[in-house]
Amino acid sequence: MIYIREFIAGLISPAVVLSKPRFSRQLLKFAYTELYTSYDIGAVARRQEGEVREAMERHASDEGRHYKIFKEWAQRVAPYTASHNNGVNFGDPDGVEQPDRRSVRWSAEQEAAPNRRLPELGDYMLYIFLSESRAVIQFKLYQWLNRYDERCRTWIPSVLVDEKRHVAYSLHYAWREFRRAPLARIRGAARVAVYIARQDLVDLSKLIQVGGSAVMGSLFYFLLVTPYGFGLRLLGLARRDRLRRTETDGPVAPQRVQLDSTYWAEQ
Amino acid sequence: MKVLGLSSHFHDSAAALVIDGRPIAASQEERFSRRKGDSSLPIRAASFCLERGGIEATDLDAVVFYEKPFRKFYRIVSTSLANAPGGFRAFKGALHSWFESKLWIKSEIAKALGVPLDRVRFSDHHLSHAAAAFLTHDVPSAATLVVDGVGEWTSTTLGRLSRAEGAMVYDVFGSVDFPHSLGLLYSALTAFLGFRVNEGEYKVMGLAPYGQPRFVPELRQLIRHPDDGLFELDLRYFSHDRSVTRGWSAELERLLGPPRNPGRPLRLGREGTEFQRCADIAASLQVVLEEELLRLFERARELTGESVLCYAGGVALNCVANGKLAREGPFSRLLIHPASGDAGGALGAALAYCASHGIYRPAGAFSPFLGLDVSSAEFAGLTFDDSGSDSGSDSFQRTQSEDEFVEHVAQALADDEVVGWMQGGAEWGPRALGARSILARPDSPGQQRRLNRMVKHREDFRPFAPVVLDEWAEELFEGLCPGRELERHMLATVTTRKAWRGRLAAVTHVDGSARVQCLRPCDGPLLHRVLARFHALTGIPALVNTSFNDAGEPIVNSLDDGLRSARRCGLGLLAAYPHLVRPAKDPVPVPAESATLEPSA
Ligand SMILES: [Fe+2]
Ligand SMILES: [Fe+2]
Ligand SMILES: [Fe+2]
Repeated sequence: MIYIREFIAGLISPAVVLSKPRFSRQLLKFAYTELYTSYDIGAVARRQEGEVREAMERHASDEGRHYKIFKEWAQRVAPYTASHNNGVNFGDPDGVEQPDRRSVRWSAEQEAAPNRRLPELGDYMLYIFLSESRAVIQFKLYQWLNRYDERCRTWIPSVLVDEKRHVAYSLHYAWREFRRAPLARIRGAARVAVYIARQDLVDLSKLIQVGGSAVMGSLFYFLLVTPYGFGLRLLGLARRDRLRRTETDGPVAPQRVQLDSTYWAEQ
Repeated sequence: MKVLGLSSHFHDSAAALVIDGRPIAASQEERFSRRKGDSSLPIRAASFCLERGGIEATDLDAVVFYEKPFRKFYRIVSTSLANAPGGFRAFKGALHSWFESKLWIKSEIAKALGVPLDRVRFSDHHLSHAAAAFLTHDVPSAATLVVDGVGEWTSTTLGRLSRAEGAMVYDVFGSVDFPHSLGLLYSALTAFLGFRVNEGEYKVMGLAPYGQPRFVPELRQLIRHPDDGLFELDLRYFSHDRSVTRGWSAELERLLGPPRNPGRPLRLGREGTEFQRCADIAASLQVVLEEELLRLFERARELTGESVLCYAGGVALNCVANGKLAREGPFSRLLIHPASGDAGGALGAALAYCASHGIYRPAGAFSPFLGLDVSSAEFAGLTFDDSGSDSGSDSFQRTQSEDEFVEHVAQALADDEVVGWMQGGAEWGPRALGARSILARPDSPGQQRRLNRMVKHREDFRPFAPVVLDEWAEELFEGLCPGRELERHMLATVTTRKAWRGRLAAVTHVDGSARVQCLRPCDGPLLHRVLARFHALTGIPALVNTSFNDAGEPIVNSLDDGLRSARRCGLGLLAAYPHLVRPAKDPVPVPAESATLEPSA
């Protein structure tokens, strides 16, 4: 199950790459994943010593560099999307999914971050190994399916070099820990598997939710809202510049608002 | 009567507890959750408020949400109908977020707090704004003007509130509906200038003094004044009612030229550069905004006949305009709540609910220090807890007396150290008012650059604000507002006197302006003493006062947050009476920050 998501994401990538805003959003997602990993690994590195710490710090700084690469790339593809100048969306600019870079850092320190869930080095290394190999698969597919896109062809390999190193070193340490205490490690591996499976389940249910509401929303919008809206506009009942008419539009003689229990109950 | 006010789901969420008309506690959720602009239901902030009030949720007479979500939903549906099929993505996004949570706010609140459904009440967005300003000041009646992005339907409401026996009286004299909105006009141009909506507005305001208002004629074209309305936008130039990605239209690009590419850094620049063009647009925007506000002020004066104005809403965070309007506007007193944005609506809603039952705040100055109180006990825990190896290399010192503490801090500041300052309850509102502040010497060369680059990781062009001994304010600054009421909570900009500009270089903007806080002893006795001592040492009765947080981080709340932030920023000293800490540097490997302007960060 763990590689399915990456395969699907890779397979639909040509469709993503074709649309600039969509591609830019995808690149931003990559960027923040990299950044999150960087902070998370940084937090774990702080608790290690010697060569492990060195390797992890190097990994953290690699991911920090990847963050920059993807972010810049996203900005080049579509500057406005990438900076989430998300317009003012009905006056509620709330569709800001991409976390702030620092907020990403806070979330790495949260309870649910892998560095808290998988407190032992062996578990953590196995987790890194799995997630890094997922990244390798996804990037490779991206690169292979989008050879016509020059940036994909040239930029992804520069990231892949690092990712392969991450796969190698994490496997090395995971194996080293495993050899130390095989039995405990098998349980550790189970913990990692459960953790990842849970993540995947959450992702999958979100995907179903979002996908479902997108389908329903589109049907509703194009079959109902659009014709009805057209009708209203034809009849002069809906105007963009005058959405409603009320007693208090413009300067008026005072209207007293009754602050009674009905008022407070109305939603 | 015990009332909890809540604001959430749109911008910064917050909770505020009011008991018998008196504000007991209030905080934004982000201060606790440590996520900037956190808009989730403010559970942590609410529990803090209840704890501070010493009550349980079941003791509450009402939980008042700051606006009416169904009305807002109705507006969104109407907007979709009027624009279809032009706003599909916006519709899809809205549908998702509304059906996921926003429509079920009532039961969500009831469930989260464990209160019966019928105790969950709903205020009105603009009433919450207006009430926050009106009910925290001691005036029998006042005109109210709320100007923000948009509430349920309205973006501007002009009214009057009066205290009457039995129940507060609310009259509305006029309003402007979405999509016509000065707040959204400002946001659209904020995005046009390559900054992030809802965050970048401060940057636009900071950019304005570098420019010449040469786009004023163009920007005036965006606003019209029909006979039967207060104002309206010329919607040909905007698309904030149909697009999720940009608030302006191609027509606006024809008028002002291409929008700034937000991916490129904006460096302080010379004539003819992109920087200069952006600064000119920002300067023009400021001029046009002030014109419009002055117009609204005059209408408010004329329609209500009141001499005091309570001014609120997101646009009231524009302290440059506030200063001008207080000095030159038609009202003898201008009252602004320190949390004039949407978070402040939580307190406003709770106060309004009490007032509608005839229960008012007892007379006296409003204190904005309603947040988490830093306690010595918390610090003691940190000092002795070495298990996390976090506090390993910090050096702690416990001072024996206030005198010793004040002397140490003032001396450190005089020695040009950057000091993190935490004292008492955290501020309510976006500004640091001396409870969670970073303090520094205002006269050392390159201080502004140093703080921007090292401590706050932000753009070079953004100025810092001074805190000055109230009794010295007239000596250092001109154009102070009547009674220095707005300056008390850092709500207006004034002008630094020429003779002092050299000594106040880090806190004076290129045009000589400064967003000053005039500190009275009652608003921070200990900081007042430090300032006085610093004055004696250096001859300067003012300090740089900027909020205590790192880039992208909410203002620090607990001592633990302060210590972490101090390590990360590399502060020389963290002062929290009676403790002095010299923080160790944060050893976490972090991707190097670029010091250039990155609007999304
Ligand atoms: Fe990476
Ligand atoms: Fe990696
Ligand atoms: Fe508002």
